[in-house]
Amino acid sequence: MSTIPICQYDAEILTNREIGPSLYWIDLLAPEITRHALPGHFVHLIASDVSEDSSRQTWLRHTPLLRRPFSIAERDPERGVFGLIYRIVGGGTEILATRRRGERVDVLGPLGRTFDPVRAGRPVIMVAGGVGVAPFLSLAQETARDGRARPEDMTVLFGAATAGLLSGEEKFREYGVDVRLATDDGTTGHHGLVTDLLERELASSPRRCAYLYACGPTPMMRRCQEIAREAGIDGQVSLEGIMPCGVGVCMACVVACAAPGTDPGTDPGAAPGAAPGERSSSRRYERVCDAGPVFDMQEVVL
Amino acid sequence: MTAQPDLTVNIGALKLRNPVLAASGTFGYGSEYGRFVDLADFGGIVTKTLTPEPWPGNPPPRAAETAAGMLNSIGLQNVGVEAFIRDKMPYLRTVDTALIVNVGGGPVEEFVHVTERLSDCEGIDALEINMSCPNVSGGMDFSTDPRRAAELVSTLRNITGLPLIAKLTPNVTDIGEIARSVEEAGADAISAINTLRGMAVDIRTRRPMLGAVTGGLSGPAIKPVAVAAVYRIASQVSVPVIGIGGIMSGEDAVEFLVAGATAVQVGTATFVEPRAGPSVARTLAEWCAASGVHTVRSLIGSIQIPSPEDAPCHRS
Repeated sequence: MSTIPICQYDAEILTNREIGPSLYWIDLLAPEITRHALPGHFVHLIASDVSEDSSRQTWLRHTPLLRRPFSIAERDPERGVFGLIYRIVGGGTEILATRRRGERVDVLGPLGRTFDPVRAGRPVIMVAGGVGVAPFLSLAQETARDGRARPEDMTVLFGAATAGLLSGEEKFREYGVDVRLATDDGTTGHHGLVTDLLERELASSPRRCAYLYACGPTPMMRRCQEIAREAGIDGQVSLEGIMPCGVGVCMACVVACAAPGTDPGTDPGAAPGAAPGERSSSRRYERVCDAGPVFDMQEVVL
Repeated sequence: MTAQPDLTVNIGALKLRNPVLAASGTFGYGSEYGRFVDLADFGGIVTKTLTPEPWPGNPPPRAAETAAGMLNSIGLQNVGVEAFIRDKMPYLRTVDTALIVNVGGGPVEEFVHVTERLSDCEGIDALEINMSCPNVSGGMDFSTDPRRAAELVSTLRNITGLPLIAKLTPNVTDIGEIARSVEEAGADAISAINTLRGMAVDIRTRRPMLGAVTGGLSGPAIKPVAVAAVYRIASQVSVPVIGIGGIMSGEDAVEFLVAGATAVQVGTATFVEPRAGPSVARTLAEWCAASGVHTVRSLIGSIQIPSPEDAPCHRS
């Protein structure tokens, strides 16, 4: 369990703007959370309005009921501001997109396990799919800021359905990080999967990658696990889950993990005849909110 | 401003500083929320169900949000009673609030094993028997059959001196009948309700939203069902009833007390607001002060049911 304090804020919205089709960037003023956040941390927020409710009872609103988790994408410790990227995917994010500058959102954080930092002399590749880019913006920013590793040692492979969803690309360039793009529709960059770029990169310049990070849709991360396993490269993945509590109590947001000594390629949850609630020694579930969201590359069964 | 209302209530021999408990399965083993919430603001906490051995739980996804509520199918994932005593109890002994430990299992012998181990353990104030988890197969559901419910309670009654609280399922025809049977078998109190069996479907993929297909519904959506269950149970037994189901505010707690509950548990609300329990206790006190209620005990079972001659005449 991390020793970083968990803070709860009615954080003021400084900006909340559309940066692509159904894609948004929100900046929140929350100095304590901003000060303690590290790359890979997430916050758990209530999308509904709390600004007009001085009694702090806005969480009594019943729909949408639960908080929503978002990876921190950017941090400005001097101003006490952090940024998030989100895409409208349901009721919570739909409401979040209607919130205006000056209003407040209830934020809990920073939460979860963070990335291993980028180390000097260990070149890394980050594979990002869609809004899965968020924690890598943070990782690139912090690495560029603390100067412990050279930005040139970082390569970002960033894929999305279409060019308009590749928002954040320019920030990587600002940090001095090399970015290659891929789109499903070929509107920019490689016409195809971002994992094609990874295979190509490993084949042409294997020394550019001693460590691999991945965050995005499950099929993308599964392919990254395969590629990393074949190439013998270590790394980490950042996951999401349906996360009611966000702090490790409800046991809902679990991911299946490989039991020690088993083939990580097999699903430990798929033991023959295993009914719900039945005992199975080969099965192990870890909480994404508490043991994760960052896991070792081959630890999780996706 | 009137004097601070008296919030203390008694669950059998157990005295609580206020009637608000954290519900089992929504508060882990205390230490998780204890990092940033003052547990002394609760009347007590109920820890996650324990089984004899660590239990892996159900395949994900294990939760889905629904209208004013959520479904879960955790499947009792827990550390097991030995790890609980070894790793969790040292912290829990330092917490200044009543500690109720929830006991589960498959067959009766597993409940017996966990109860025996906990009865020897210093620092536990009461046991809550999870007779009603909807998410585990293998005859877990002791509280759908009055005879089996009574057998389980009397078996545990014979082996422990700790107060026993039977937690009942709403998924029965008459919860009052089950309540009578566990009272006769020696239960010191009754918790109601556990979650309601529910299901949600992703219409795009046509798959169930939960890995276990069905799960338990909780949150504000179930509150009226829970109030009705508490009212029914309180009319059938004389032991205290602990009301559970969708409590988000002091007013919600008052509603349960008036319907017959002696205390309440706050569950799903804690996920939304980590300080929901203390907030319910505080707003309950404020409501009492504003309403001229000097002790919450005066609210318990104070429901006024109009007699038939008072009832308005409905014409169709």
